[in-house]
Amino acid sequence: MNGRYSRNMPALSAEECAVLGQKHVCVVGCGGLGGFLIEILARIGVGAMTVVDGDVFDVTNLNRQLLCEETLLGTKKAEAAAARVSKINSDVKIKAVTEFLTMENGSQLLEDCDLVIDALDNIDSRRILAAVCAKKDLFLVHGAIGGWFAQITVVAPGSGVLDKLYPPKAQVPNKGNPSFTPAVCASIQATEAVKLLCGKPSTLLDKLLLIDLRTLEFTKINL
Amino acid sequence: MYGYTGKMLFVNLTTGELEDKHIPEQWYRDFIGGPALGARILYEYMPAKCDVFGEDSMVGFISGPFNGSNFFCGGRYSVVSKSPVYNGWNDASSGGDFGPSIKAAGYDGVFVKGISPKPVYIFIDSGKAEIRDAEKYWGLTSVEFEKALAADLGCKYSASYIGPGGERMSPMACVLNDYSRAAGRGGTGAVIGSKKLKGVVCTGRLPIQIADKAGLTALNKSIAEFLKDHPMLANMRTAGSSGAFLPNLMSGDTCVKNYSVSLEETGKTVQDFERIGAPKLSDEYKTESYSCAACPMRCGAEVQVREGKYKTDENSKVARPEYESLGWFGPGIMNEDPEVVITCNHLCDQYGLDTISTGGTLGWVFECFNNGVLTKEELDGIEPFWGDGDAAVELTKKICDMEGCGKILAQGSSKAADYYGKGHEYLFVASGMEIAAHDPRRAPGYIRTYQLDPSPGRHVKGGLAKANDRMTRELRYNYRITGYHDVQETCVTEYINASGLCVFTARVFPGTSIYDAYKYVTGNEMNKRDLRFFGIRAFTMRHAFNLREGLRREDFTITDRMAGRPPLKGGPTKGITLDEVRLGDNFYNAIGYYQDGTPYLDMLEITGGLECVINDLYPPEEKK
Amino acid sequence: MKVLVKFFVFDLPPGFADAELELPEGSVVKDVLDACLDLLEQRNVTMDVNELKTATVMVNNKWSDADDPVADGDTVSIIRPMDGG
Ligand code: SF4
Repeated sequence: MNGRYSRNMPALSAEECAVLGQKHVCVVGCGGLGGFLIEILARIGVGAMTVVDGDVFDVTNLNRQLLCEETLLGTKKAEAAAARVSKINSDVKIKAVTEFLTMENGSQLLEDCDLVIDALDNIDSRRILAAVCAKKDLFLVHGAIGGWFAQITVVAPGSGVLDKLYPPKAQVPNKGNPSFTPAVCASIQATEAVKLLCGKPSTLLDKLLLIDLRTLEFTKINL
Repeated sequence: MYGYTGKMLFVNLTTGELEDKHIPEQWYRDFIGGPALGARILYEYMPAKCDVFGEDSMVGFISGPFNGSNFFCGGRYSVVSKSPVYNGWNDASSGGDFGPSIKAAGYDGVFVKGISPKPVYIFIDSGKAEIRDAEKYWGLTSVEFEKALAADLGCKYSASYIGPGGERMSPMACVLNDYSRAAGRGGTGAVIGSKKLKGVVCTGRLPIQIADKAGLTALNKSIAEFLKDHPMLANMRTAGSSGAFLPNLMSGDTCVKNYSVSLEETGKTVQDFERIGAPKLSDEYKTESYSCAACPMRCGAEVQVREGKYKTDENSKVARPEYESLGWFGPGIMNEDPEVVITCNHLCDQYGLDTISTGGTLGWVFECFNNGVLTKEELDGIEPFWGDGDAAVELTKKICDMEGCGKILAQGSSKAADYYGKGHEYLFVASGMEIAAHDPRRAPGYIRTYQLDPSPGRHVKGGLAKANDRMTRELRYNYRITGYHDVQETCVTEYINASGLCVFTARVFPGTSIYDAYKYVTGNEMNKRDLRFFGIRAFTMRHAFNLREGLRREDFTITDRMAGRPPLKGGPTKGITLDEVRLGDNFYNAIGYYQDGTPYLDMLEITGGLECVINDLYPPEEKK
Repeated sequence: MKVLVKFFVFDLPPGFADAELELPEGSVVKDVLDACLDLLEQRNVTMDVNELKTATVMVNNKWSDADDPVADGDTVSIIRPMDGG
C-alpha cells in the first residue's frame, strides 16, 4: 500500500481503498460542486474519473469554484479539472469532456462508469442526466445548492426521484452562491459516493438530506 | 505596424480641416479594427448624447487588418456612427473593394464630423486627402454617381457613398460601394447625408506590410484546398445567399406575410415561390458573378430582366437580390414574381436604401392594408393586396422618391406607425429596426441578438442563433446553457467583423486558420482564449457607447410577435413562444454583466483595454 | 385540527422555520398553503406567492399533491426547489 493512502485508513480498510482504485466515477459539472468533488475524489484515490463540462470560467465563478483561478478565466472548466487532478494524483485516469451533456452524447459519456455524480447547476440538465442514468442503470448522487441551503440524495436508476424534487413548473429564485455552501454539499456527496463505490449502504438512498446553514439544521426526509 | 497603415484620417466638414491621426498602437491590439475599433474611437472623440444629425456627431469608415492582406474573404469594411433609428450605437459592414482600397490609399479609416455648407466628397489619393465639391453628384443614384465619378476621375478608384435616400436623411438609408454593395443597416446613410457628404473616394496603391507573407500564402492555399470539395463553395458560387431561400422558407425561417403566419397557413407551398429561389432565379436572370476582394467564393451576381414591364436597363449593374431581400420582397408580402423582387431590390440599391428596412416596412404596410388599418387613401391610391407585386414596386418607388406616402414610409415602419397612430400590432421590430428574414421563433438565439446587441435588429451579430442551427429541436428551445453558447459565438462574430472577414465563410474555415491569419498579417498571437477576451471587449465597447448615451436594458425593445406572443398556429414553429428575458439574463450572466446590463468592474479590469469604460461607469471616487 | 408546517429553503426571518396552523377538518394541502400565506401576511413577512405555489410539499415525509388531505397532527414540509451547483 502506498503512503499516499495510509491516512485513508483505518476509516477505510485497505480492501476498500483497493476497490476505490478500481472504480470509475463520472462527475457531470465542473463548477462549484464539481470542483470540490473532483478534488476530494482525486485525493481519496478513485481509479478513474470522467469530468464533463462545456462551459468556460468567468469572473463570477471566482468566489466559490475551487478550479477557477484568475489566470484561467475564459478557459474550459473540464480542462482545468483534468489539469488539477493530474497535479494532485497521477494515479487517477482522468478524462476531460469539454462538451455539455445531452440526450445524444449522454450514453456514450457514461460508458464504463460505475457511478455518476450530479454537480450540475440547472434543472433541465439534471433531468437529462437522470434520464441517461436510468437508461444506463447507474446510481446518481445528486446535490444542489442555493444560498445558505443544500440538498443531497442518492438516486437509484429510474426511481424518478428528481421528477419529484423538481415539479414540472419548478421555479428557482436566485439565492446567491456563497463559497461555503458548495463545499459542504460536495463533501457530503463525495461521502455517499465513496460509500457506494466501496459497497457500503448509502445513507441517502431514497432519502433527501436538507441542510440549512443559517441554523445548521440537517433534516433527513424519506422519499 | 503590420496589417495596418497606422493612420486615420479625421475630417471636420464644418471647418474644412483634415488631420492625419495616429491613434495609440494599443488600440489596434485591443480592438483590431472594424466596429470594435470604431467604437473605441467614437467613444473617445464623439461627445455623449449629441444630436445624431448635429455637428458633433461622427461617422467612421473603418477597415480591418485583413482588408488588403489578401487573406481569403478578408475584404469587408464597416461604417460606424450613432443610429438615427434608436439613437444608439450603429455599425454595418459591406464587402466589395472599398475596404482594401481605403488602406491602399493610405488610411485605416476615415472619421468625419461637422456639417458642410454644401455637398462635398472626400477624395484620398495615396495618403493625401482633400475635400472636394460634390454639388454635381448630389441627387445621383448609385449607378449614375459611379459612372459620373469614373468619367471625371479617369482612374481606378473605390468609393463608399450615399444615394438620394441618405441625402434626404431617411433612417433606412444605407451606405453603398461598388454600385450595389451596402453597409445596410441602422441608418448611417442618413448621418452621412446630414453632413452633406456624398461619400469617400479612394485611389492609390500603397502597399500594406504583412508580417509573414509566406505563411499567409500557404494558409490561403490550404484553405483553397479545403474548400475545393466543400459543398459551401459550390453553393455560394452558383447561388450566393439566394441558395438559402427555399430551405429557409421550408424551415419556417422566412418572414411569411410580415411574419404573421406560417407558410402552411397561407395555403401556399414552397413550390409557389420556386422562381425566387435557387436555382431558378439564377438560371433565368443571372448574367455574371462577382466577388469581394480576395474571395474565392464569388457569391455575388448581376442579373438582367430581359423583357416585360420590369425590364432592366442593360447599361445598369443590377445585383441579384440576397436572401433577406428575397424574403421580404417575396413571401414577406406574398409576392411570387422574381422580377418584382429584382426591381424593388434594385431601386433600393440605386437610391441607397436598406433592403431589409424597406422590405420590412413594405411587409408592415401590406399587413396594415389587408387588415383595414391603412386605407387606399392613406397610400395615395395604391392597394397593396397580399401578393400584388405592382403595388410593391410602386410603394418602393414612392419610398425612394420620398413622395406622398413614401415620405412617411421612408421613416421606417415604426415611425410610420407612430405617424399614422395605428398598426403597432403588426410591427416586427427591435428598438424600431425592421428585422431580417430570420425568424427567432425558429432559432431563438436571434431574439437575444435582435434585442440586446448594441446595434439591435441584426442577423449578422451575436451568436446563439449560429449555435441553434447545430442543435436538435429539443436543445434549441431549452434555455439551460444558452449563455455559454451565446457568448462564445458572439465573440467569434465580433472577431470576424473587426478583422474584416465575411460572416458567410469565416466560420467554416478549417481549424485555427482565422487565428493563424491574424498572426501572419499583424504578427500578433491569437488563440481561443484571446479571441474570447477580444470578443467580450469588442461587444462591451459597443455596448458602453449605448450605456453612455443613457440607454439601458429596458430601452431595447422587441415587439411581442417576435417572441411568439401569440404563437403561430401552424408550420414548423407552431405553438412556439420564446422567453427573451431568460435568454438575455443568461447572456448577461455569461458575459459578466449585471442583469440591468452594467458590466461588472472586475470583468472590465480583467478583460483589459476598457479603462475608458471603467472611468465612466465606476468613477474613481465611487470605486470600491 | 392542528398541523405543523416546516419551511425549507425559504429565506424567512428566524423563528419562522416552523409554524403551527389551525385548520378546519377536511382541509387539503392547498388550504395549508393558503393558510401559510395568511399567517405570513399577518406577521408582516413578505413572500413571493409563486415561490410557495411552486414548492414541493410533503405530508409526514410523503410527497403530496395540492388536493391530498391532511389530518390532525400531520407535519407538512414545504420545500422550495434549489438547483445551483
Ligand atoms: S463569400 Fe461573398 S460576401 Fe463573403 S467575402 Fe466572398 S464574395 Fe464577399
